[in-house]
Amino acid sequence: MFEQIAEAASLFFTLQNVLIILLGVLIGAVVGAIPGMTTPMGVALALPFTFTLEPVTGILLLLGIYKGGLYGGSITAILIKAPGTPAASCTVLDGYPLTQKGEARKALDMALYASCFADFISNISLILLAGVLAGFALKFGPPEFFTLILFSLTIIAGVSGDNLIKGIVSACLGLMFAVIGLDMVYGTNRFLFGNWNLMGGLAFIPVLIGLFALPEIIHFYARKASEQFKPAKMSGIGATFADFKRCFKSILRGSLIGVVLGAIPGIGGAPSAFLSYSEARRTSKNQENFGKGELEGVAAAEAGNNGVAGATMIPLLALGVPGDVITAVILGAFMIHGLRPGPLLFVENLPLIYALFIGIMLSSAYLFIVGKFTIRSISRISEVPNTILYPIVLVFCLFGSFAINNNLFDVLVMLLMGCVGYLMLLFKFPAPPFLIAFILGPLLEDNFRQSLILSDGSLAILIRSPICWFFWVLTILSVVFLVKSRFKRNIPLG
Amino acid sequence: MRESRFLGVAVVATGALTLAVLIPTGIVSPSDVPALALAPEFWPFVIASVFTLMGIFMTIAPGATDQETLTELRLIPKRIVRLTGFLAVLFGYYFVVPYLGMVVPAIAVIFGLCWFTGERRWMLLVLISLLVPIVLTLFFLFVANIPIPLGIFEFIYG
Repeated sequence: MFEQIAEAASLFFTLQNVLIILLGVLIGAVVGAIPGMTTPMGVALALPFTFTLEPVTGILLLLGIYKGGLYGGSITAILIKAPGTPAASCTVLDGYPLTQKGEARKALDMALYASCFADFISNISLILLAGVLAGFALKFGPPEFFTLILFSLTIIAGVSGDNLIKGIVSACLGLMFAVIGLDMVYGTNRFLFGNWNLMGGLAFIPVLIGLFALPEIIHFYARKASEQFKPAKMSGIGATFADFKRCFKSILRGSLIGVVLGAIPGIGGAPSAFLSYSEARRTSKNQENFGKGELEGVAAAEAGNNGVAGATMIPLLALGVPGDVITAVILGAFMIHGLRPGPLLFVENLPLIYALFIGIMLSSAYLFIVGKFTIRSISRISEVPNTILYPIVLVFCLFGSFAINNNLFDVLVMLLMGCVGYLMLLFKFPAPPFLIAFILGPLLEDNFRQSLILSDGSLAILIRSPICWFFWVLTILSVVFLVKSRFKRNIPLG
Repeated sequence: MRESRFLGVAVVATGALTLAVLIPTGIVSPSDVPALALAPEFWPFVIASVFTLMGIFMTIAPGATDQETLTELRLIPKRIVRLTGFLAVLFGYYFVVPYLGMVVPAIAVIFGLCWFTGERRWMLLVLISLLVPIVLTLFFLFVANIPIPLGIFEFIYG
C-alpha cells in the first residue's frame, strides 16, 4: 500500500504535472465562461494535445478543464444570463437577479466557494466511496432508471416559479422537442417532415443557447433606445463568512446530491444542480426569494453542479462506464494511452489511480485560486456595455452553434429556439422546465420502452425491485408535498 | 385575466393541432407493434395530451396577469419594427452564410448592431467588429480544426 502511494507520488510530483492541472483549470474556466463554448468542447479540443504527454499528465489536463469548466459556466450565467454549461443554467435563476440587484460580486463569490467545497467533497467521495457507490449504480436496470428519472422530473415544480401550470406546459414543450428524430426502438421517423438534418434529433447545445442566451438579446433589441443602456456591473461587496455559513446546509446537501447523482451514469450536472436547488428552495426560510435573487439558490445550484465532478469518475474508474459526455471523452483519453478503466486498472495500475487522485485533490485548490483570479478578470466582460457585449455574445452563439457538429442547420435550430424562448419570456413561461424535460425526456422514454421490451409489454416491471419502489414513493411524496405546500402558502397552481 | 385566458386557448389549439395533425402525419408507426405503450407515437401522444389538459386548465381558471407582463405585451405593436428588423438580421445571417461565409456577415452584424444602439466610437467599433469574428475563426480553424465556412473566401483554405 505505502509502496504504491510512494510510487504514485513519484509518478505525480513533476513540475509538468503540477502546472498542467493549473493550466487545465484555467482553460476550463475561460471556456466555461464563454457562451457557446462548452466544457465537453473544451475537453474534446484539448484531447489531441494529450497524445504526446504521459498518461497521468494528459488525463489530468482534461480533468482540470472539466473542473474549471464546471465553475466557469457560472460566471456568465450570473453576469449576463448566458450559462456557459448546461448545469450552470440553474445558477441563472438566482445569479442573474442578484446581478440586476447590484450584488454580482456576492453571487460570484458564493458560486466559487460552493463550487470549491462541493468539488472537494466530491473528490473525497471518489477516493473513499468508489466501490460502494459504483456497485449501487450497477444494480440499476431500465425500470430503476425510469423511476429515478421520473422522480427527477418532479424538480420541474421547483423551477416553475409561481406558476406551476406554465412550468408543466414548458416541460411538455421540452419533452416534445426531445422526441424529434428517429424512434429509438423501431427506427421510424418522428416529426422529421422530410428534413434529414433532424434524424439525430435536435442538438442540445443549439437548443440551450437558443433558449437561454438569445431571448435576452432579442428582448434587448426589441426595446426602445431609452430602455437599452443598462450595463451589467460586477457591483456590490463580496460574500462574507456569515453568508457562507448561512448557505452551508444547502452547499453540503448539494454536494452530497452531486456525489450520488454524479455516480449514476447518465445523470450529470444539470439534474443535480436543479435537484439541489429545488431541495434548498423547499427547505429554505426564504422560499419566496428563490428565483428573485437568493444567494442560497446560487450556492445550492453550484454545489449540486460541482458535486458531480469527482463522482462521475467513480463509475468511469471502477467500472469503465462513463458518467457523462466529458468522462466519455476522458475514457477515450485513457484508451489512447493504452489503458482500460475498470476493476482491472485498480489491480494492475494502482499507482496511476493514486496519482490521479492526488492530481484531482490538487485541482480543488487550483479551482479556488483560478476562481479568485478569473472572477476579477473574466467578469470584466460584464463592465462592457450591453450595446457592445450583446453583438459579441451573439457572434459567439452563432459560431458556437455551428462548431458543435460543423453544421449550419444547428445555427438555424439555435435561432428558432431563440424565437421560442423569446415568446416564453414575453408570456412568462419559465425556461428551466423546458430544458430539464429536454435533457431527461429521451432518457425517460428510452428506459420506459426498454423496460416494456424486457417484460413483453407488462407494466409490472416498473415495480419489480425495492429501488423502483423507493423512487416511486419519493415521487409520490414529492408531488403530495408540493401540492400541500402550494396550498399552504396560498400559491395558485395556474 | 383576459390575456391568461387567451394564452390558455392558444395552448389548447397547439395541443389539439399536435394530436390531430402533427402526430398522425409526422410519426411513422410500424404495423406490428406488440403493445400500445411501445408504439413510436405513444409518448408524443401522452405529452400532447398533458399539454392540452394544461391549456384547458389555463382557459377555465386563468390566473391574474401581472402588470409587468401586461406592459410588455401591450408594447409589442410599438416594437414590431425593431423586433422584425432584428429577426431579419438573425435569419439573414443564416441565409447569407453559404455565400459569404460566417466571418464577413459576423463583422457586419457586430458593426451594425453596435451602430444601431448608439455606439459612435469609431476605433472601438472597427476594432471589435474585425477582431472578434477573425479571432474566433482563427481559433476554430487552426486550434479546433473546425472548418468554419468562408463562402467566397474559401480560397484561403488553399
